[in-house]
Amino acid sequence: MAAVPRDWADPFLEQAREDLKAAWSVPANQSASTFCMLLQMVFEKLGKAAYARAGQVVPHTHQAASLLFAMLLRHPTGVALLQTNGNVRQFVAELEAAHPQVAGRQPQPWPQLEYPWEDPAAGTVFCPARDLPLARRVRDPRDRIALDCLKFASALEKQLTVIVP
Amino acid sequence: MELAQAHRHADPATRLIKFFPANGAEEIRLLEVSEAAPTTGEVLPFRFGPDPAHGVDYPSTVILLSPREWQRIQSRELELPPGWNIASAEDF
Repeated sequence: MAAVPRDWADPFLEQAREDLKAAWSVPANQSASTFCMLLQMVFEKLGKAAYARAGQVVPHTHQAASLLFAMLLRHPTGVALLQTNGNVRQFVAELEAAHPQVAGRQPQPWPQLEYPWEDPAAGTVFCPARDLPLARRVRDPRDRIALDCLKFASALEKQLTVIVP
Repeated sequence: MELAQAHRHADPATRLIKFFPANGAEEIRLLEVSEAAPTTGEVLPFRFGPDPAHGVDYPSTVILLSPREWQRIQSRELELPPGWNIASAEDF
């Protein structure tokens, strides 16, 4: 018998926890682009876990964080969580836009996670470790965005089953 | 200290920043309590390497807590990592 959508919820949540654990352990300003990639993966999987918990077929998309934030807005606990720190929501939206499959649909050149990208007009190839603007923010110890995102993700991971019963 | 000031500037909901002596280690240890921080019920240190380009010459470890978590630290329901002595911490 094939799995139903809800069967995917716990595995996605478990994998999100695993990715989150790895993200906490990465020295963010020394492996900033890898940290960004992990963080995007965490929020994508949390979004898919939430979707599956709601009994919806998990969409084949890398923009699940957007779906997640939309779901959070429908629950008081989710709204309270989102109200804590607006910077996190904006940063996660930018991470999502930098996923290679999402970035590939944007006007080029568009900075992306994980893989180098090209400015076709200039013939220049960029790499995330050096050129990703999001990674530059993470690299700066004076900017607390990396820690804010991790704290938010940890809270969300713990409250997801309350937000989406 | 510039690092603490930068964090306070980035997060106006910061209510408290404490500096913890690192017992001889060359490390900056900060505990920050912010009303913008969600509650996880955990004390999770986050480490940065040194970044002289941004004026931070030493590695730093920051613990970000919600006010509720800070209360639990004070009432000893939650523990700080070993070596973080609250009695010797200084307020910023």
